[in-house]
Amino acid sequence: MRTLAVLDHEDNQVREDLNFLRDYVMQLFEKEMIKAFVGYRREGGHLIPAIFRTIGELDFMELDHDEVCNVERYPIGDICRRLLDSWPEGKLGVMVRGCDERALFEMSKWNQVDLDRLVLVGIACSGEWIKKCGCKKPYPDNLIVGKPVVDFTYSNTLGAYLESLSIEERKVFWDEAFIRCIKCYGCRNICPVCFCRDCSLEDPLLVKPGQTPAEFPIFHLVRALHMAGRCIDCGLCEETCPAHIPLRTLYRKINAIMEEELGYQTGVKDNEVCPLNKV
Amino acid sequence: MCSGSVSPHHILRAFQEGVDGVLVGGCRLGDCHYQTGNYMTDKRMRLLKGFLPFYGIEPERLRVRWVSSAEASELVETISDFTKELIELGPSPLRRSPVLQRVSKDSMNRYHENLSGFGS
Repeated sequence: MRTLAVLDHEDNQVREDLNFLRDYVMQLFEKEMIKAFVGYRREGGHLIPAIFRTIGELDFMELDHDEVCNVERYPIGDICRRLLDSWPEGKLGVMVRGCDERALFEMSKWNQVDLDRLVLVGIACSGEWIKKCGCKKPYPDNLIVGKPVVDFTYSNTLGAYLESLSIEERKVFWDEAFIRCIKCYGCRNICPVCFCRDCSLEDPLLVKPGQTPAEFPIFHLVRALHMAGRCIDCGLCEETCPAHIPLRTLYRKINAIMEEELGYQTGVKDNEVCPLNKV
Repeated sequence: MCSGSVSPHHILRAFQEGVDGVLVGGCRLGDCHYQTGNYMTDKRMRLLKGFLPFYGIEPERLRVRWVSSAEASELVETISDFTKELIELGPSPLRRSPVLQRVSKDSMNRYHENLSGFGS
């Protein structure tokens, strides 16, 4: 149980960060570097992404409480892509966690977002949330708010466990997982790096339509292959999945192979393009 | 047809239908009529081959060979070799193991218990 004192302290930290963020974004507006800012606002008790168009609106901005794991995440990369597409002259500021930033870097390499039209305002993840989420780099390159936590252990326990099994046992494990799929397409819809207009998962020649569970393993393997050189390990798919399928482990594996075989790492800002996207 | 037009999805579809193995044949590297088609095939197939065993399909069931249609004897040899190996491997795991039809309550509980040991 957490004491009230702890919560108070956390609230203070969040309030401090929030004030700092507000001042920073205010300056961006004043220098006319951005025309709007994508941050979070509270609606019905939940944090939701919102567009702030004036300095006055920034009063409604809020932040998550990482320390108590009260984190609500959204595919910020995907949201920015749609906003930039529908507002060609706009310049956006956007609040990013490490994962959001990786998604935007990756999308820019796939020619889906123009980073020149974005001002990234990074916020470091902290506290319990880092342990719960388990990503490799819980802080963005463009860090503005908070301190980066670097002393944590990254582990892919389920992945390592599956590697230790025999090939037959692995198939049983995945079949047991896949059969739970209710074909809600949640994994695809929440994915910040999914941008195809015609989705292979809806191709009747590839995946049989009109049945649950979704035809397996093909449904999940097709999606996994689409994540090769794209997935930035944000874990939103797994968080979303109502059937508790360990999708993240699946996509981690395909990108481990990607790195091993083709030497490409996703979500890094450099000039290298994914080998699957060039000759 | 260029081997570069073979998507990994097509191969997955074939495995889903229960085939025992897939042979992808392409022109020799450097000999591509379309310049770079088979280099793309090479990259895709390396990914797929590494990934198949993580789900539970033996990587030997996918074979990529650079033999062009002009090399009849080598093509025949490749195919008969592969067939021989597939016979040794036996039927595809997607046909061999009984297909799960529905989720029982026991298996649901077992699944969640197993998974809860692993954090995220």
